[in-house]
Amino acid sequence: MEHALSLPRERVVTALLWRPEWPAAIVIAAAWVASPVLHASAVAPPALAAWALMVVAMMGPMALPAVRHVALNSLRARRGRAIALYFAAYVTVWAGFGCVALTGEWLAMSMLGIDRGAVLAAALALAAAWQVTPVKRRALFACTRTVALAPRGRRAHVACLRFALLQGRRSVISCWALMLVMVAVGHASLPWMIGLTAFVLFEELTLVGRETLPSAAVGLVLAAVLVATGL
Amino acid sequence: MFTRREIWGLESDEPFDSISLAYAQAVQVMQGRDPSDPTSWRFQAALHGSVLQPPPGVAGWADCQHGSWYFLPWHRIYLYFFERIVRAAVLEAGGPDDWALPYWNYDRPFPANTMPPAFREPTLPDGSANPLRLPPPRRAAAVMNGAQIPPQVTSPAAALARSNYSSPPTPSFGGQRIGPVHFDGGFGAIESTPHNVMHPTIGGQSFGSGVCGGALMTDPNCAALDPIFWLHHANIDRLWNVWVSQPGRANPTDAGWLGQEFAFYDENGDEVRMTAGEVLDSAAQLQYVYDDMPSFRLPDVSGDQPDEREAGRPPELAAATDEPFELAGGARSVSLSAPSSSRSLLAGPPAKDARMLVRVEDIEAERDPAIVYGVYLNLPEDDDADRLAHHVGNISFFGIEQAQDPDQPPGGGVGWRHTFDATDAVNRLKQEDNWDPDDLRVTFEPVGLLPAPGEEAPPEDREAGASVPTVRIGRVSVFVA
Repeated sequence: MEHALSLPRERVVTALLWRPEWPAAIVIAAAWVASPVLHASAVAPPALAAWALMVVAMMGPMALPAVRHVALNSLRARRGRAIALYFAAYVTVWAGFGCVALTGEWLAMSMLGIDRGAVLAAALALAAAWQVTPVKRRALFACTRTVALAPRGRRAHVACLRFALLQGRRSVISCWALMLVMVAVGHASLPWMIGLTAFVLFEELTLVGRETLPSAAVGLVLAAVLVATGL
Repeated sequence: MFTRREIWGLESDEPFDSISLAYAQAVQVMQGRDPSDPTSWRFQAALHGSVLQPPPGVAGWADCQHGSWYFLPWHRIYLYFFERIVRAAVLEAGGPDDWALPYWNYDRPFPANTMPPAFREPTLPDGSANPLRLPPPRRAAAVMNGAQIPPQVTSPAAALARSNYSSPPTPSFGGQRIGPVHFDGGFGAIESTPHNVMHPTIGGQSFGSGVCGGALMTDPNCAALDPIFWLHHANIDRLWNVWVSQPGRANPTDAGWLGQEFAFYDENGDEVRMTAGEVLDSAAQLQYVYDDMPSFRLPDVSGDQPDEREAGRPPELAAATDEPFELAGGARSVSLSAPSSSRSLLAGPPAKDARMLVRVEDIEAERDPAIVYGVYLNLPEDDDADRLAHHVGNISFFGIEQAQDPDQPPGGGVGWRHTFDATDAVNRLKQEDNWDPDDLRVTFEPVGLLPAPGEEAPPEDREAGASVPTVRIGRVSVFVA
């Protein structure tokens, strides 16, 4: 009986050791739950906080392979710190982009009075155009680039930060135009969040996704046309 | 059934026998064909690699699979159709109807560890130029002058000792479960040594100018233009059969791996597609065997196969270098830091089941220096030391330029890295009471060729005054698994 119980427990422990990114996965899952709840609340949340929560939910999954790499290549004693440092720095890069994007949103809608539908159609068209640029392709293909991780001390923290900033910057270059779509829909739409996250994960984590990069632009153009024509 | 024979066995009496002569004549015929003809020498070489854009409608152009678990099946299919093309040319010229591609088993004593004579003779028996011979800079001058390739480069022993085809756990025999990909860093042990290290050893360090103007075997885009390429790969293919014939070995059963299709061209110039699952048994599926295993049959390992993925605990980092460093052609030693928290992993008597892994990570280079570095653990400084006792593996940079091409889709590997199983070396040091976790050093030392018996040391292959391309190593680490 004891053996029957210990075997599954050992399997769970082994699985968790091979997936040391699980704390980050829990944070991402929590962000998926909290993001719609926050937007449904009576009091409007601060825009940057809502954005940060959304990028944890949407862009966090993209960071999981790198988080795993950091964890498996760090000393056990500092694994937790390394994961936290990497994930926080990665999200901070996206928060920085959020500041720019939200300012742009405010300028377009509040100052210039541009219709949200027009902004959405423009964002989708921009995302489609970005999809076929060499810069986007190279940023996407650099998803497996790594930085040498020093084992201990200040150098270990600096290397971890450098890695997070490198990958954060790379993912912003790859996905900024797609995330403008979320700005345009008011970063509260669960269907758009799910759809775009699936889209990004498909092109980031699958070979087919990487190879069909330009053809995905067709779908974005179609979406832009649908939004622009109000269908 | 066709039998692939060892080239030195064919050439025991004279440089050319009917098989090698027929090969030379077929190479001549293929070299004379239009490069747009799929059965031409250049077209076949371009299926492996090319800097040129593929002609319209051509499939499988520059598609060789390196640094993933597709390395072995892709090259087996490649050789199979190439052999059919050559055989058709041989038959057309009235050559032996049982012609099969020879292989070069270089992991044997002199003279088998030197370039076979048919590939060094200036002329064929009829006095015409020998197309199998490539003078420097196409091949390393020392190799063409009969220098011996050391066992450190030729030995597949470390690869054959791996029980798992794919990784994790690392290292594995056949490569990492990634891709398909043209070039990535998930090498299997057989790809690492002898495959990767033999390429620049044969090719040499002359970069030349223009397209394929220098060492052919050193550059993946040019390697298959060298007739010896095919014999080298036939040997690697043979070693796959040797490996799978050992007890406890099995090819992957993953449907994705088995069903992965690759495009090639047959002797009629028609596009053909074949999967890994269709080439597992060279005898039953492709009708060829090797002369050292004429009764080869793929072992029956049907039934439940243990899932080797992520079995047991992941390797744990125990020590690593603090800073990146460079290799510039000479020997270099680096020290590894082992924090106090890792002592329990490193110290103590040799553990029966524990494995010590030495990993060389985040390797970057603008250009392949065409130097093979031997990697040694705690190598003493005195020249009398038993170097092989400290040797854990070799590093070659074959294909690093392609792997770092920013326009090349990655296969999913994590950077360019090599993992070596150093368990035997560590246990030996522990038994000799010569193991100190506070004094861990890894030494990189260029591997040189050996002179033929009675000859002087082979000359440097690099042109005088030519600089050595620098290689950056991000980290060297020791993991305990």
